[in-house]
Parts: sequence; structure tokens; C-alpha cells
Amino acid sequence: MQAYIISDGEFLTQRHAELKQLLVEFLSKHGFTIVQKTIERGELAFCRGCFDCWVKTPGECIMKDSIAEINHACMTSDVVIYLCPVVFGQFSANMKYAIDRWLPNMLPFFITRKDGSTMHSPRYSDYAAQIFLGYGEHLSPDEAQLFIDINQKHRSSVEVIIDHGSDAEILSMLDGVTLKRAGGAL
Amino acid sequence: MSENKKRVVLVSASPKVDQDWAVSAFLAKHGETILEDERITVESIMVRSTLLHHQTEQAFESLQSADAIVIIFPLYFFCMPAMLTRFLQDFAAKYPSCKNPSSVYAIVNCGFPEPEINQEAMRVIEQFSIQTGRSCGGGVMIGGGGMVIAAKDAPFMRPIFEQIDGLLARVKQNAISDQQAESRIASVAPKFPKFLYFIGGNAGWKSMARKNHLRPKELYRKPYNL
Repeated sequence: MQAYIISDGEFLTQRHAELKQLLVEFLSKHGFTIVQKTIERGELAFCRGCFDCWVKTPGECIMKDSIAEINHACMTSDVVIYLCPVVFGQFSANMKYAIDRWLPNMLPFFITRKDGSTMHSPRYSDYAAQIFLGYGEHLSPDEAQLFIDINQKHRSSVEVIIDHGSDAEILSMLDGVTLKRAGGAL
Repeated sequence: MSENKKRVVLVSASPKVDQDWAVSAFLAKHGETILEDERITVESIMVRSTLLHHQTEQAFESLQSADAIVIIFPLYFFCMPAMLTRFLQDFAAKYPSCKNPSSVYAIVNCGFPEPEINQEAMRVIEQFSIQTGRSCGGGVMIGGGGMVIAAKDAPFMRPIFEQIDGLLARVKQNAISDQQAESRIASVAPKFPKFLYFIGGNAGWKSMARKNHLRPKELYRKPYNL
């Protein structure tokens, strides 16, 4: 079993180090091999919305930087954890560069979900469990809720944890997460 | 006279290479026309070229001195695209607060038919406004954004342009009268059947695949299959 932890190189705070250590210990205890990635500023190009990953090189981004390594690890792991600084209630810039370029991993076609909302079809039969662990020094309740809504309101099989400074709370929430790949709608 | 003019800055944040087919760039140009008035100066910042040509310093100065900012962007993964996130994150790091009263508005468009999907992105703009000491005036959330340019003159697109023009009229009025923006958010989509939008969209992907010498079934490739 493999777990992939993604961090933002621009927000390597003391709390980030503590959270990463907590995750490594938790995942090791559950038998995971851990692969870590820190995204540095300028390492990834931003998604330019060309859709070549859908209609020219289906399933792969046409821009050749470290996104190929990141998407390969995301798609072949059992658990992916985004250790994510929260900025304006959403992902920090470096993290968002990687998230936007996850696009090749779904199909272009629209589907209507059970609740009537529109989504793209999945490309694969199953995906790694995705956990977004949001942290920040002075997160307001509104910002924290926005980070939860961005990730959970429109997507299936995604877990969101907000760091309030308590390791025990994080571990308790991680205990409630299913740490394996899941199928179904995105 | 000119020093008394109010400054409105339109931030056009489509990451697309071909800006002629970028909805945000198209709406920014439309905005320049609608906002034209002898009492205000209007400036457009193209975030893509600003970042790629390392000209953010000048753009940040313009933003910091604006009386009103209108941020126009497409929805990427239910919030701002990475490119705009980089731009605003760096701006807020350089200018964490605003000296003069200033308001922020947004026009967000998504390819899905439901405009309400943009709601979280609008809240991100509100957070940006709060954290940089500005008031948030809301804006327009557009669904079915894939049709905005191609079908701009069609009658079923009229509600979209009515809402956008209404927002821009409010931006102008608030700027000229020094009024603090009151947050109002409109949701709008083309008056077009969803099932036809789906059929057209899905056929479009297959057509693009053929132009790239791929058979439609090749769109389903799984390069990372275990």
C-alpha cells in the first residue's frame, strides 16, 4: 500500500513539519509505504485550459514538467494527502497548480449526478482516497468552512480535515477515514 | 480633471493561450466599452501575459491604487484557476492592506450549465477582499460559459449580458459616487436546454479528437492504469 503526501514548498512552517511527521507516523503504523513530494514555486506550469489532455494525448498533460511524476503517483497510490496551506479559503498557489493539472485523470464528457448536478465522467474505475488537510496560522471559521465546501460540496470520495492545532483531533479524524481506493463518480 | 477621475481595473484571468477564444478576455473587452465614461479611467490587466512576462510589479501597483477591481475568471476545480491564485497570493503578500476605500467585484464563468457551482469561487473573492481590506460588491456567476463567445448574439444569451451590464453599471455608479459596494450576486445561464448542451459538448470533444487523428474511443485511454 502506498500513500503520497504533497506539500507546498512556500509554506514549510513549523506546523507543516509537525503535521507531516504526524501523517508519516500514522500512515507507517497502518502499513503504508510513504512517498513525499514538495512542490516548489515555478516547478509546474499553470493549466492553460487547452484540453489537449482530453483530445490530443488523452489522460496525460501535454506540458512536460514534473506533473507527469505527480499524476502518476496520484493515480497509482492508495491514499493521496494534500497537506495544503489555505489561502483566501482555497488552495495555495503551488498546490492549485497541481490540482488544476489533475484534469487528464477524468474524461471530458458531462454526466448528471444523482443530486442533479453536472460533473465529468471518471476516466478510471477507481481512484486513491483523497484527503485535503488544510492548515494556516490565522484561519477564520469562514475560511475553514469555505475550504471544506470547495472540496466536499462538489466531489465524491474526498475527505477534508482542518488543522486547529490539535494533533489528537487530526488523528481522531484520520481514524475515521477509509484509507483505500474507491470507485464511482468523481 | 484627470487626477479626480476614478480608477477601475479589470483583471482578465483566463489562462488560455488563444485569448481570442477566452471568455474572460472577451468579457474584459466588453467591460472596457460599457465602463467608458469621462469621470473614470479603465485599465485591463491580462494576468496570463503579466505573469509570463514578469510584469507583476506594475500590475500590483495598478491594483493597489484602484477604486474598483473587477476580477473575471473561469472556474477551475470549483475555485480560482492556479494562475489567478498565484497572482492574487503574491499581490496580497506585497500589499496586505488597502489605504483607500476600494471595492472588488467578480464575474465567474464555468463550463457546467449550473451557475451556482461558482458560488465557492465567489466566496474566495470575498475572502480576498476581506483580507486585503476591501469591500466585496459580489458579481455575476455564469453557467454554460462554453457558449458565451460562440453564441454571443443569440437571443438565449441575452440574460447573461443583461446581468453583466447591470453589474458594470453598478461598478461605475459606485466608483463615481464614492459609495461603498453592497454585495449582490446574480446567477445566470443561457436559456438553452441542458440536454442539447450536453449533446453538443460531448460531440465537440469527439470532433476535436478526430481533428487530432484520434478515434473517439481513444479518448478513453488509461495511461496510469495499474
